Amino acid sequence: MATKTRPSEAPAETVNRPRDPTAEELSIAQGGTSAAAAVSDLDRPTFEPPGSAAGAMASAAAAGWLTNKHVLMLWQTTAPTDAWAYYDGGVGWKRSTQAGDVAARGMGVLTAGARASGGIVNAYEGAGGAIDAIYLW
Amino acid sequence: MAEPAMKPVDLDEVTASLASAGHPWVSGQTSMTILTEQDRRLRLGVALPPDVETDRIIAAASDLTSPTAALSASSVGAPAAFDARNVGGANYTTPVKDQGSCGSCVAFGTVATMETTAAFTRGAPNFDPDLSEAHLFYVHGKSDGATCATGWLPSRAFTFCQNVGVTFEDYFPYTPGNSGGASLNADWPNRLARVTSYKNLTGNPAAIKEHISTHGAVSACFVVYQDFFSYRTGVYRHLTGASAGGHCVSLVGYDDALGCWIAKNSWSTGWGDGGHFKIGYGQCGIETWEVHGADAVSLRMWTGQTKVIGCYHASSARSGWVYVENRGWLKVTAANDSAHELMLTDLVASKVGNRPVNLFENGGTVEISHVY
Repeated sequence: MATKTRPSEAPAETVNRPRDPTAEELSIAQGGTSAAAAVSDLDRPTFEPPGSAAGAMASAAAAGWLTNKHVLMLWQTTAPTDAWAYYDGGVGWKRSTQAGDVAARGMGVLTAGARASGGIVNAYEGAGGAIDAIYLW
Repeated sequence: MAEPAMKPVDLDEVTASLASAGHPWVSGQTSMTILTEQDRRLRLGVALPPDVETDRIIAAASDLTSPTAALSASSVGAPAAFDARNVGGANYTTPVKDQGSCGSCVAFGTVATMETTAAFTRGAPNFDPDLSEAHLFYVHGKSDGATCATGWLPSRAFTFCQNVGVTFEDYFPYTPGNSGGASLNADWPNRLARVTSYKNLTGNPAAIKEHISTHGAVSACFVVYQDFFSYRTGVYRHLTGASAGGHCVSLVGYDDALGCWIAKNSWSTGWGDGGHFKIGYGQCGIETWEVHGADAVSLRMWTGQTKVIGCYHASSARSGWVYVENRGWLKVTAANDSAHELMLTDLVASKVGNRPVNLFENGGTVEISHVY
């Protein structure tokens, strides 16, 4: 596995062995189901704008979502999908989706817009710790 | 149209009948009572079926008021009351129109239903689409044999709304009998609303309520009796007078406590309760004659100047969306990676800079974006 880096930290040590499985990967190996099915539900937006009745309900019921955050800092290295954003409210650095270059670039447009506008962000943190969906209001 | 009994509305007779029944609704002079009987009947544009079938429709509706049937609304999870004119303070209906001296009520009832569904399903009460009844009646209806004198049927109108679509009022303004001489704008395919699919809900009040509460409206036909012309407010129940013909309206709500449907008519705001009326469950065949609801209304048009309120992106390629004022969520073109990314960049920039946009929408996808 390649050397991994994180913003605001020294480069992590090179990993020479398969990393420990996540709880979800372990569950899949043992015949369980993946959260990927739930992630596929993210393919289209379901939240309504903040302030609307539907938006308030969605925020209140947003299990798994980081809601009403702001992006305070951005980080990008020479690696193609190594974009990070720092969220306020005690969240800290979160890596953008690892689902491919095209998706990462699209999401990067939104996180850059979030930093520039200071707008409200709702972000979904996937099983691997990366942000797999993002709203900018 | 069938030729019903000829005796016209008698306001004194209606007043007396209402008094003896305990004033269940209020009558008075309306935009209809001041017309001649011939002009009133010209506004009833759904031909009554043969007497036996009309009797069956009315009897079937009346049977639906039995306690067992009345319970069925909750069985489908529909709320006990709904009014598209006031959903959490938002009005998803469009202004009341006037069909004038033409039996085009089917076009008005169908278009009103499309307009409400288009706004409600987008969560956009200020969308306020104004679709062309003239396109539906004078082009589609005409090709189907409909005239001001014959009227039409909603099942036929919905077929055209699904297969072809209806343009907007500014591309073919309505006048009774097209007396204004307007014609269809040649660019109409680029300014079009289309029903994606629709349901026949005839005879199933629980399903009608479920559809209204989730899609905003349905169209419905009913038998008009002479006392109806003088309706001003309250819950209408037929008391006196002969049948005058068949009529099509848009049902935009209901109220189980009052036992009534809330309807939008096309006889101007000078009739009824600002152009609307309430009609009791099981009255005049309102649930049992040509009830249809649109599942969604797809648009192909420029939005006009508006703004991007929100943006969304998921972890799959080309999964960018924008929330557009008065339109709701629109998908950013997925024609190719480059177009998707560039358009998304432009639209996020418009959001960041609070700059107006004009978007060409086709079936829920932005195909052209112009940021000012």
